[in-house]
Amino acid sequence: MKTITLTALREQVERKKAAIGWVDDEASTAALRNSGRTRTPAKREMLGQIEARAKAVGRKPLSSNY
Amino acid sequence: MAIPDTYLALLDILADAFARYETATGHCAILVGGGAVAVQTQGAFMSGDLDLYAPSDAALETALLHSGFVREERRGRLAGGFYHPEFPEYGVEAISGQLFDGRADRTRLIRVLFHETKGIVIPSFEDMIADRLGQYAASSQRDHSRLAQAQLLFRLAEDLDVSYLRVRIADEGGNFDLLEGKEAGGV
Repeated sequence: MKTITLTALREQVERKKAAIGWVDDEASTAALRNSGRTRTPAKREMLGQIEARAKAVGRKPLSSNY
Repeated sequence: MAIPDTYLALLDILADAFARYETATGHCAILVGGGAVAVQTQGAFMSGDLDLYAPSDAALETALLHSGFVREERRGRLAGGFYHPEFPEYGVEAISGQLFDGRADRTRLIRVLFHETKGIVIPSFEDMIADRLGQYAASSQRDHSRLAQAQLLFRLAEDLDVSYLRVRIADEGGNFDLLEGKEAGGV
């Protein structure tokens, strides 16, 4: 098994993002977000519960399609 | 977006559960699916549901419960989902079967350390690229986000073993050429 620290992985990935001109913003994140079309009913239910739990305590859930 | 602090805090707790699981079974639990992609892209892709693979469901459940996770109840029945009360905006679920149907080279797993010894284990970039391409190929409605995730992982990875990647993509029924945008749209 390979081992890497989270810090080293972050530096590696951020260096690559800069090299390829990747910008982390809402548009790029949205393009990567699962469409939700192939989710199972159980997964949809799980995501619905996550959203409900988050809203119940005033947290903003991550955007997801389900 | 950068990985949210809450996500990192949840992974820190998950690392505790992984350590408990490994101590109890001698095997490692593995963060797979979108959760692994979130770590490998450092938040470019994010997912609120984290899928875990572990050979023993019972030992994984014990480890999660001892680390503060609670069972999620779905429509009156107990299912395989868990969440941590401090981070209700995330869910954790155990997946069954073998890791990538037993086709992945487990020596390529990556242990991402948060502290000196504690961390989480994720698949190799090669295996996650193949997984995403396989899911893209398998979906009748062509979820292009899966292709975009594979293409981004391909561009972010360092020292990819292309020979292994080609084999794994073939295993998963994907198309290597899509990574370079030779078909369909690029990232």
